[in-house]
Amino acid sequence: MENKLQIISNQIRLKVLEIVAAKKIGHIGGTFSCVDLLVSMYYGGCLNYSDDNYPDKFILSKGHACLALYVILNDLGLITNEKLDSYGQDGGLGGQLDIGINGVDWNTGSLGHALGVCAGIAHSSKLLNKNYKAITILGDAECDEGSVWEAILHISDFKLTNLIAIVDRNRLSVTEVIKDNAVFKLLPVALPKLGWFYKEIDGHSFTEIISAIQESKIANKPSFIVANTIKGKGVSYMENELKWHHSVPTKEQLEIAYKELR
Amino acid sequence: MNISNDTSNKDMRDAFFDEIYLSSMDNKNIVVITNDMDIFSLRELKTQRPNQFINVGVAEQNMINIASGLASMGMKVIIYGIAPFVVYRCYEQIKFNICSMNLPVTIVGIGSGLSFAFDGPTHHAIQDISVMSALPEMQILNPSDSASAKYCSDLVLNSESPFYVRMDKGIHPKIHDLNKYEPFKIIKQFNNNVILSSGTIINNVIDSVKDKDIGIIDVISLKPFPEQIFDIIKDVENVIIIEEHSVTGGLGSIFSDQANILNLNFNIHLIGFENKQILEYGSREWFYNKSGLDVKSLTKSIDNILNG
Repeated sequence: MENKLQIISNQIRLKVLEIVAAKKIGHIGGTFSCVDLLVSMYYGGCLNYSDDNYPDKFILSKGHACLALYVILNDLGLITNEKLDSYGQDGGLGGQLDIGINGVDWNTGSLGHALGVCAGIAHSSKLLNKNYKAITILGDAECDEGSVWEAILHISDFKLTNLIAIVDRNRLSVTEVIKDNAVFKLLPVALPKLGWFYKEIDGHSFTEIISAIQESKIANKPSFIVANTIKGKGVSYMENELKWHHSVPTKEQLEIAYKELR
Repeated sequence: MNISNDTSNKDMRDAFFDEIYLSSMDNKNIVVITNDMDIFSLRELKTQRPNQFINVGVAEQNMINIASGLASMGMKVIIYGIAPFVVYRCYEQIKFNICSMNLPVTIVGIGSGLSFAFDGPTHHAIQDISVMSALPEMQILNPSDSASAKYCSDLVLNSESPFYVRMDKGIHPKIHDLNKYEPFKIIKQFNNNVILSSGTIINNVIDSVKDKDIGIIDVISLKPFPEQIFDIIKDVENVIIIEEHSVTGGLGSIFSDQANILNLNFNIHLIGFENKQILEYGSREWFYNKSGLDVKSLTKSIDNILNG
């Protein structure tokens, strides 16, 4: 399983890279850091996206990593090759997600909203007496938003158990290295006390990701998983480099990347 | 709970929320959310259907996000709180999660205009129409009495659009005999001159034109603006727009913009608050007096226009 998922991840990274190189636009760094999380969702059974009646709802809160999701949705047959190829063209797929795209549950582009929206979805799951989950992947810099904390507190108070938040902890924002700042010092202390299932994992280990999600689903608590990741993961010269937040590789750089990912 | 159909002695809030309460008892998909504000007619809902009533506490951004999550799953969501806090504090959440997703969430802003005059400028709602009207999907209702408030609830419960309902508080004089929602209502017939007004300030308007040959139209739906009004008033000499809102971005602006788009020319006069910060404390009447919205000042302004 782990090997199979790793192969899929590499293929998705390759495809993303090809598209960014061709279209000369995209956020490679923060996309590559969460590819393994997304692959676990769609290929590792963590997200029940194809249920006919009540599928899980998924929000990629860090919507600037949309290109990986486009490639996945295309691979799963949810969007056509033509649609994928429209990325970067006027009127085509853009730098954020929207619900006009098949398989996308929420518009993205502004940070700090998704956890509260997921709280609303989890409320509905409870009200309708169903078991669908609201799952979101947040960026780590995004956790500065006050609305994320409003949501954390609300979810605790209302014991919204049908909810899983995963933080792509790649430790790099657009301009800064995010060390263990107050937010990330507070989370591991506060969340268990607030009734959350809290876990820190290696966000590039499929075994750890999948077992954390499985534990979340049976924990009967809202879940918060901090996935420690590497921005630019998979291509040596991109890893942990601020400039790969939204740089486009040169031809030579691309050759090296292809070799590493194949 | 016994709920009277007669709204004449009802607080406007209760006239609206009694209907929400009754519908909620029949329809489990209606969810009411507040940022810790008490409404008499919802106390029963809170007790009888605790799952359908969520007090998020003083956290407006979260309130809007939760509402949109619920609405995306087929729930009909009614939010209420003091108007400026449910409009300005969480504007991006409204723009992004409710409007860009086009979800059936109704935001009831309690305390239109200077309803909370003494609580100061943070509690005034005199730019709320301006910011809400900038959101393409948002429809705006501004009832002027308990009857119109009651029927606004019918509209929002039976629509799939986002709504902002600008709601006064307290018992106000009865203006309308209604048995269904109507987007506007002629409340005084006219010949050559007409006043368009909206909300409870219309009571001052009524008192200021008693012996004058000028009509009054109460505009309840501010957005979409009822275009039928343009036909009805097409031959008038003067259109005076009187509102308890900044003259920038309110009914006057909506009317003027729409008239411009349709290439219609009217002799328009705007009466409302100047577009400047109010940093004083006092009663609603005191502010009316200072701002030309009291009956005496309105009478004078209208006379000046008519004698032009």
